[in-house]
Amino acid sequence: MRQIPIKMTFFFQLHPIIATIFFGELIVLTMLFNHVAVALTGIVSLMIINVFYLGRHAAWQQLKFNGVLFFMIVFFNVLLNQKFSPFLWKVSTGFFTFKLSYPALLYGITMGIMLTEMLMTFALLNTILTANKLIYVFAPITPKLALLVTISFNLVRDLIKRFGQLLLLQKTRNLDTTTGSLPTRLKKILSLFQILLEDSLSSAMETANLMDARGFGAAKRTHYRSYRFNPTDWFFLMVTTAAFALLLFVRINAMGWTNSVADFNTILFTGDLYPMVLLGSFTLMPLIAEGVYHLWTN
Amino acid sequence: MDQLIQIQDLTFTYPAQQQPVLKDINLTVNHGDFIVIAGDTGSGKTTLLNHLKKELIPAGETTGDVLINGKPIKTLSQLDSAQTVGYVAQNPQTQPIMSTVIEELAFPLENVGCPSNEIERRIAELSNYLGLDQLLDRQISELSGGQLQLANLASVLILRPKIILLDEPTSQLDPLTTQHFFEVLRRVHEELGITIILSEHHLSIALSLANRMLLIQHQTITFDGPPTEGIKLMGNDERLGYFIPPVSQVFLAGKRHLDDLPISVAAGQRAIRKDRIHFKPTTALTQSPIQRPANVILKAKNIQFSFDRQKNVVDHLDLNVHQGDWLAIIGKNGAGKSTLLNLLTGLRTPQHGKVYFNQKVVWKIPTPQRIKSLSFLSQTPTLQFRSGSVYEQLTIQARELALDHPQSRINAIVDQLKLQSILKHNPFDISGGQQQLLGLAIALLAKPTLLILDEPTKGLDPFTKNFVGNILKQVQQAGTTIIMASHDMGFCATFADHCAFMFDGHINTYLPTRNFFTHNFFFTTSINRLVRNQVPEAMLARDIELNNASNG
Repeated sequence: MRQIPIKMTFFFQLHPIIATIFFGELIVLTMLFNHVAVALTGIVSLMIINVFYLGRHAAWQQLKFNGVLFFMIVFFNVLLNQKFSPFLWKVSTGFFTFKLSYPALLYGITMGIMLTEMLMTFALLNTILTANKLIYVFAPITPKLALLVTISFNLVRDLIKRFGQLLLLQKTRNLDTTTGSLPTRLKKILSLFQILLEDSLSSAMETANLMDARGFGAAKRTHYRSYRFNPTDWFFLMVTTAAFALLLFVRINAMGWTNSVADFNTILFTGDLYPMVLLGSFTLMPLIAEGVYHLWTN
Repeated sequence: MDQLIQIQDLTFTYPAQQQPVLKDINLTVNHGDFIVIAGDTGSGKTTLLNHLKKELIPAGETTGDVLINGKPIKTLSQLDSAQTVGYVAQNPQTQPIMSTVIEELAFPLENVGCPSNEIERRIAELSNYLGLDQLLDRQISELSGGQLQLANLASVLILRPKIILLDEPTSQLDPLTTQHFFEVLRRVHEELGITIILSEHHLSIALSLANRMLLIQHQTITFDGPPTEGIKLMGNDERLGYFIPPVSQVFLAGKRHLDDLPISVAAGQRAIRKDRIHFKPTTALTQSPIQRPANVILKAKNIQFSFDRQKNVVDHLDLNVHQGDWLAIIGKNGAGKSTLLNLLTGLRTPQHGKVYFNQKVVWKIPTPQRIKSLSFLSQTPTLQFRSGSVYEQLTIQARELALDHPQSRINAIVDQLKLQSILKHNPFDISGGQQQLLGLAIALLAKPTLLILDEPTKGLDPFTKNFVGNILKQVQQAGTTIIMASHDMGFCATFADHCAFMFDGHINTYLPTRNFFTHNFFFTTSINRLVRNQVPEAMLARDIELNNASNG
């Protein structure tokens, strides 16, 4: 399937305020349900829209990166939480006994998925809500907040790029993060963060000064792209906000959420179907709207 | 009134420093001036420029006044400041804030409250004027260095300022892109009448456009006048003599055309035709180069590398580098030179092909072993620094290399590169030129058999560049093979033994340096351009002298 250029998509053309509200709601929803089935629905839906909007290659790369974090969360959960039965596996070596707790495993998987969902949401947000849209949304409230948001996004992008270069170039100083045991590698990576922050922050400060030098915050901002609310924007807002309100309602009624790790003994709880259907529909709404938008083409 | 800027008794000291970096500066800039500020690295050029832009005035102790249009700069509103003075920074990457070119051009106009239709009109007008119209929808991250710097200039120019300040704007650009950038500046100055003040190390093109030159020495302005007079004055100073454009050097050495000293190649050729000047090769040029033994130390065989698996940055590249050689790889910004050096160093692994260093696959040599014989200086030395002072950078590297006599080696390197005064400094706080020297010191600590350098002269003034070149020559003569990527044609012509051109993902035109430059038409030195009709094999000022027998 040939990817549609991002600028030609309905989602990209959505009014920035509506898109910001949608992403705000989506970020809240990624933290609202901790049942495995609901979390899986969320991540599968996010994966579908990320493949559609970011492309298969970018989505795959991101999934690989998130996969490492996911497995780390699962690993530490099952390692640190061994008191809840049933146990799937036990092993004893001298003083140490390891018990693989089923609830801890399920809880770890849910937590891992929730974090991955959050990262995927930010990747999508970064593509749809470009810097000028973010400034458009936040500058009327406070130009300084808009400056902060824009610089933060640039800083994160810059940090990721520089970190890759740093990993590469520090090999010339015998700091090779691809060799040694896991703790050694983690120690090496942590030692790079100080250099990374020092280097990137000074560059971000220079960028901020150059923004000021070009009149940022000098007057009430105007906008080259005049974003007008279209009926489709209002319709999208109504549908997604209604779905969001319903999801809040089901969450208030304790569906899709369990308080104690001990109670995590199944993948699918009674009542999960409601949040699953609603969350899937909410997350895939841009894609549904995309289909309707293209069907409407003359 | 013709005066646009007045600086009165300006003295500035950075926090926690005893000595001022600028002292008793007095200067008047008139409408329509094109001023080039010259001086050593760390002489205060950038600090002076920053004092002309309210938002960029550095923290520290300032006395004296800076007036713009008769008003103290500190009383200018941010709106007035943005619309009066524009600023283009040295590093093209730091200015852009938006994701596409059109958004970047709209950004300053949106800031000053321009109506939407006016923004569109100005973008349309300016992008067509500067030839950026085809790039408007391009992502900023996809632009080459030259395109990015042009977009930065446009983003400043779109506010229609009266003054544009530029801090070494071409220091990271290749020679052809640099020429194009200056051509745009010339048009902006001549056709729009905008006052331009720029600091620059490479004076050849800049001074040929300027009507005034400022020389900063000993924290103050020691010369303010026509560029030709300034050049003659620089000839009297040991350090500043290296700053003189090569074309002017030729005429100064021959004591010809001194009243109207040529700076550019075109002016030099006009003077040659007018005065019927003839040059002959010097004895240095007629001496044949020393032949070296031909053991291959580094061999790249059919290597291919792609970042996105869509397009090969390095494509079916073969390269043999002989022991004791100094090879310069030349090419435009984005040609893939840095990626190639990463592959040759073993930092990246090609998708296909092999790189052998001393007959071993380079990326398979364990890092602790590899860094003992192969050193690399990247074009961003800060990313090779660790935490700690300048001195600690050296001690850490000496420890990682497990040197037998670390202290004596560190002392030797510190002496060689004259780093004594900055040993206690944080390496992230020292100047770009000093960071470059520290990076080189770290690379040389191992006494490597192969030294790979990416843009080693970036940010260095001509004197320091020559100083570094001589050190590297000594290192080479002691047995080290050098491979470097560089945009600096003069440096390559002066020091390298062989040069190669990188284009379309592979190396071509791999020739001895003199053959390389004398066979090129665009990527060559200004001296070769000046006298290629008379002495085709000349590439440096030292290669030619006046033929008195035929000069009238």
